Amino acid sequence: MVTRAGKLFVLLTLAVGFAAINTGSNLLHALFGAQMTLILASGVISDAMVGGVRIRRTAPAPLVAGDGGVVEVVFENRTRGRILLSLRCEDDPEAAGDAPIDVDPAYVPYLPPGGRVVRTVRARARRRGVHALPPAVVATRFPFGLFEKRRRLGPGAPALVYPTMKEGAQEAGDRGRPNADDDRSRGRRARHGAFFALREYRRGDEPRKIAWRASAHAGSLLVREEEARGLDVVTLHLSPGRTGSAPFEAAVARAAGAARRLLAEEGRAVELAYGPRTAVEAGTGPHQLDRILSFLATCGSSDDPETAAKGGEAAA
Amino acid sequence: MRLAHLSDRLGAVVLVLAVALVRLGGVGSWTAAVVAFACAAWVARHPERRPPEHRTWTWVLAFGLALSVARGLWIDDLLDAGVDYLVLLAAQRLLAGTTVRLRLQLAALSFLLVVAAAVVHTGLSYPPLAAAYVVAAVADLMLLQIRREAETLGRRIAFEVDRDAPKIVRPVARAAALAALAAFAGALFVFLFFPRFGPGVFLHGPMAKTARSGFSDAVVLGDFGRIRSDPTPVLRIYLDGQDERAYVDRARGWYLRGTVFDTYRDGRWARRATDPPAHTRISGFMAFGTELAPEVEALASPRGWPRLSPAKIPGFAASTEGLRGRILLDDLGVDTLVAVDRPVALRIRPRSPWEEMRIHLAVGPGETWHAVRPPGSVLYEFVARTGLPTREELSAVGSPAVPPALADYARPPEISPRLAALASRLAAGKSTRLEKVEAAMDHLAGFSYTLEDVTSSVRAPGQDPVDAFVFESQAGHCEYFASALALLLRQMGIPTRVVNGFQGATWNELGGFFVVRQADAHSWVEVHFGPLGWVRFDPTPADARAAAVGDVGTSWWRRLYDAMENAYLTGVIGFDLARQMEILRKVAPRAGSPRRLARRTLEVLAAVVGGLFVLAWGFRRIRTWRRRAEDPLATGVARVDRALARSGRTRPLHRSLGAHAASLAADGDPVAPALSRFAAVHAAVRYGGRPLDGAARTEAAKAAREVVAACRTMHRPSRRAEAPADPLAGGPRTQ
Repeated sequence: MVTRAGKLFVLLTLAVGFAAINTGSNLLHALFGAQMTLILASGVISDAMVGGVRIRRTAPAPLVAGDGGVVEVVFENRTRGRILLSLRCEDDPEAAGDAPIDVDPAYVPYLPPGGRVVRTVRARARRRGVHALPPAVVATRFPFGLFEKRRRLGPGAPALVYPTMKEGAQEAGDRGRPNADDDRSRGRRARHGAFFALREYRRGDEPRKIAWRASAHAGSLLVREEEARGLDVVTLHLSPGRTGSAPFEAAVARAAGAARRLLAEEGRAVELAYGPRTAVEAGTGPHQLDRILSFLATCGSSDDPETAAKGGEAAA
Repeated sequence: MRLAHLSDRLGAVVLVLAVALVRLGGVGSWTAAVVAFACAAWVARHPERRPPEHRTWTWVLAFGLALSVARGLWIDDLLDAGVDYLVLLAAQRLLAGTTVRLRLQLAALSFLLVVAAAVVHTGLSYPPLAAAYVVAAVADLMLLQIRREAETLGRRIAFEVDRDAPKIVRPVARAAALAALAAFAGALFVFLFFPRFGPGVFLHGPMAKTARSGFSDAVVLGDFGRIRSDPTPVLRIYLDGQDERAYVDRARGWYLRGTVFDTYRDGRWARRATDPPAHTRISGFMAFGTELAPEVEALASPRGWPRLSPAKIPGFAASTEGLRGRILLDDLGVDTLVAVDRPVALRIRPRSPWEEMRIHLAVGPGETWHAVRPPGSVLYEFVARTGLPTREELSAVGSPAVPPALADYARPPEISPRLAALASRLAAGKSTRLEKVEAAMDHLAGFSYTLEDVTSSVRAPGQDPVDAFVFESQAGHCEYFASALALLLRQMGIPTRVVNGFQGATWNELGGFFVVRQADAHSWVEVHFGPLGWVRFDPTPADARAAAVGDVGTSWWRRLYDAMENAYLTGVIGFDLARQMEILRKVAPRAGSPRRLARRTLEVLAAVVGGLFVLAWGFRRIRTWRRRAEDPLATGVARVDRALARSGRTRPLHRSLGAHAASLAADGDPVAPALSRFAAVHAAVRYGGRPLDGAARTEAAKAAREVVAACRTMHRPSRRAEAPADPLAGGPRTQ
């Protein structure tokens, strides 16, 4: 792609070539030759830059619809002795269209031979679900900014997009309240019950709950479980629906908002019911929120059995 | 380090080079150039302190534009005014160029200046300055590109770019050098092989001419002295196929005839539009004389084509003494051609078919040669009569009657009664024309030569300059002497005219040509001697003139520069379609053997490739030496590790040199003692506080050599080979 500066340069080159032919001036011929070679060199150097890099774009954590998150872009110089300069990784402008996720460009000014650089950039997600990151290109205007050379990268890695968390009225599904004698000033640690049992570590468990001594004895990570004394379990009900249906999406957003408020701000135990079944067992803490949001991110999609049974109607 | 500051400094260099190119090409003013240089110096010194982009700049630039237009239309040359405006615009872009957009505009403006310089600058300074410009501009564009990304993508990227700037600079410099090399190669290729048309068929328009004092249709007394100490070459003479060394001494006495003036009034010499002398064409030359009686005769030549020589003049023994050669004449600003002594035949040597169509040779009044041609240098051949009649031959002419055609040359202008009286007094008792000329010459011989225009300072209002010279100052330069002699002789009724040209040529043994400089500009007189024609007389005291002018351009460096400039002018500026075809014929496969390149081409290619190889090898060697000089111990360790790895004794990554030596010793490896010695020196210097002086360097180098030699000659014990492979074994590395 020719940039504005490139168009001007090409125009100047043509003008100098015209003048050289017209006047027969040897110096103008030499200048014309130098300009033509610089155009050629620009293409060759750009090609060497974009051809020598390997790029991976991944979302290290789920994104949030309507808000976004971050995407990690890893630049790797796969050449042995060539320094790569001024590389930009961005969404393919020709394939972006109505992509569910937009990722900001990531830029690396300098990449040594065999080197690896990680850049974290912002991403914006339009709707919940599991979406592939948009097709990307690695582009450079190096060396002269006259032309932009692009190379398409492979398909984007999948990224989980949580639903929008909408703050609304008290959820209809609340069936319990905190005990009357709950003293919030004592903090959430006080609301936790006595030791109940040890269980195997599950991904997402809080590291502070790992029983290190017991884990050392057992040879695998074990986590302390405590009685949820002093708390009622709050159940969030979500009627099955179809992704894209406005009432269903609004219900999902309200459920997500309620889950965040209950778990992150009020420290309550929450479970999620999706239609007649319990989709997420009761639990507390940020990882319970992750579990609920992960479910909410994908519920209502075409491969969801509840959605198929419901026939597309949604209610919360 | 901020990349933007580095880029701005580079921009300053680009501006300085571009402005220097146009200014040295003689276009634009020094004022604009100095302003640009000052802006560049300011930006280079204080890249962080610059005036912000402001509306005031718009008014300043608008004022500059209006001023340039006014200058172009009413005062100066339009080209100068335009270039000045471009220079100021570029300087403003640099000074206010805090954004990439403005800096790119500076790059474009500087490029326009370089293109303008390519049109007007034919000096030897163009190639090195243009080469430096290309390198700087390419690096500048690279840094600007990175700056632009930082500007577009936000402050965070700008921070990263600045953080990585020290790492970016070297690869950018390397890439710029490579790209510039490629550009030079491309320029050379197009220069050599792109066909030259140059017919001007697309556009026709006048171009600036280089006006030089002393060569115009009218000369005011006093102007000529301004260029007396200028060593700039004006023309070069090539005596092809002749023994040039035989002419080295004689060349100092050559008079190179240029413009002839016949009319004098109020201190001003001019030419009248009279009929040109009779001329004819012989063997492609334009020659004086008629077809029946040409002044040139064609002699048989062993090569088959006729060789021209001056025809014999009865009563003039040396009339057949001649000189043939080629002259490359720079653009003097007039169409007059200059040749040695009395050129009797000339032929243009067009450097392309287009030039042949556009150059027309003509003979004007006063036997002046002209070439109506496009601006630029011109190459032509000449046949000149160099012999002069002897005093006896001139005396034998007596006092011939003035033919009607020459009556104007003998008519005295009204100067002053006392000049006429002086002429009468000098002519009294002289019967022959020669005696009268000699009397006038003798009178002027007592005058002093000076480059200062003292006559103008002593001249009374309304007084003729020649009258003031003859009677008041009696000191002046050649124009005064020539004018005084001519006017005195005209007072005596003798046909006389003043000739402007050059006197003396210097042999340049480095370039193989004779050079004539601006400082050789001179004026003399021609007196008509009936059947012998016009005869040259020079009233200027030769010794005094030589002493006043001095040895201009005779140093070895000056001769070297002239030789290089000549090679540049003939090989680059004067490169033409004919030479292109010649090169293509050499490069192209020979007829009948299409797969075989000409031997010469192969030789050149081999020389170029060999030269590049030697350069690359030298560069690597220098880099290695530098590295060794920086840390000889580290290079020693690397060398030892390489030798150990090659001989199957690879040192594991986690093991020190000493431990590895102990390990090898335990296996009975004969390399162990040498390695142990090297390890001891290494440990003492690195960790034991021993200074890395000459003794330590020598000791370490000697021990490293011993290890390498031992690894080459001594085999590893077989027991060691059976040992399990060390999983942490690494390859050779530096430490």
